[in-house]
Amino acid sequence: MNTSIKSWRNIPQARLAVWTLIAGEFVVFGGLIVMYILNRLKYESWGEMAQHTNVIAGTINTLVLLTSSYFVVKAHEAAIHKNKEKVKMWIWFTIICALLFLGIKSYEYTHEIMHGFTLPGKHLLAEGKHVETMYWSFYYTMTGLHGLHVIGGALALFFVMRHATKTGKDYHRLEAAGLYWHMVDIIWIFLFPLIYLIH
Amino acid sequence: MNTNYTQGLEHEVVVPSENDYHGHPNYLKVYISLLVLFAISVVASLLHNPLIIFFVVFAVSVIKGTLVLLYFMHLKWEPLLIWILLGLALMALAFLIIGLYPDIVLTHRYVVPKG
Repeated sequence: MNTSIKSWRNIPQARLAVWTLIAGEFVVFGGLIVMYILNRLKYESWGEMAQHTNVIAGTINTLVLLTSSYFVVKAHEAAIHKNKEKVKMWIWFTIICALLFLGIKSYEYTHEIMHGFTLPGKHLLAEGKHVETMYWSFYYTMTGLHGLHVIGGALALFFVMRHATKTGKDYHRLEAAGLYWHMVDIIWIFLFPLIYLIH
Repeated sequence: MNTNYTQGLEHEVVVPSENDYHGHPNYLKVYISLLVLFAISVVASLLHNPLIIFFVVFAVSVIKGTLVLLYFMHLKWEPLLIWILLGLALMALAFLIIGLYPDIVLTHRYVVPKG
């Protein structure tokens, strides 16, 4: 079979597919972020709740994700030149960043849960702080969903890198997986100041 | 847009060539810009007025997001179709916000249901 499969306007299929996925993700996370902002402006007590988040951990995680985005573009650059060793190296650096991010986030979650800031927020409810429990619902939904995307992105990069370096072909898939990874970074770029910096 | 074709698969697949990106942008420069902007938002968070903090850090986030989109994701060199796709996503987001806005802003404070 030698049929030429081209997507509309000659855009590579993988790239078009990932851009479509990204457009959908922007609506999901954009909706969550805007709803968070509106609630934050409405309820002053959300500012008090935000003070319980770990700013240092959030700051380190932001640096980690920004750096991982740089590693991904370097991997893409190496993939275009079909430089197997460099592709491996940059993607492994990115995966290490993903693991670091998840490790720091897990530490944060542990700390917050131990202080009673849970999704059902039982201790806050017992104190009659119903609005405050909503803050933690938003917090865990937004950061949890983002964390799942970090896991998905890291797995996608790993499998695409493994296939490309083993077979020596399909390097262009790295660009598609990389696009997804940058989207994960952009979402965090908006989540970080909203959750950690604005008290 | 220049494209080349890989062989060895069941069918031809359009893959991007390096020319798609007019040569790669200086990624290190973009990365350093992102770090500088990140530092600005952290420093701005130390201000006393929460409203000013909100506007400064949010504006910086928009700039950072745009830099990643344009240069790391190569949106700057993507065809119009991708821009339209993202524009449609923004429109969908606007409709979502318009639909949910009254539920959040135009209602009174959270009321505990009786019973």
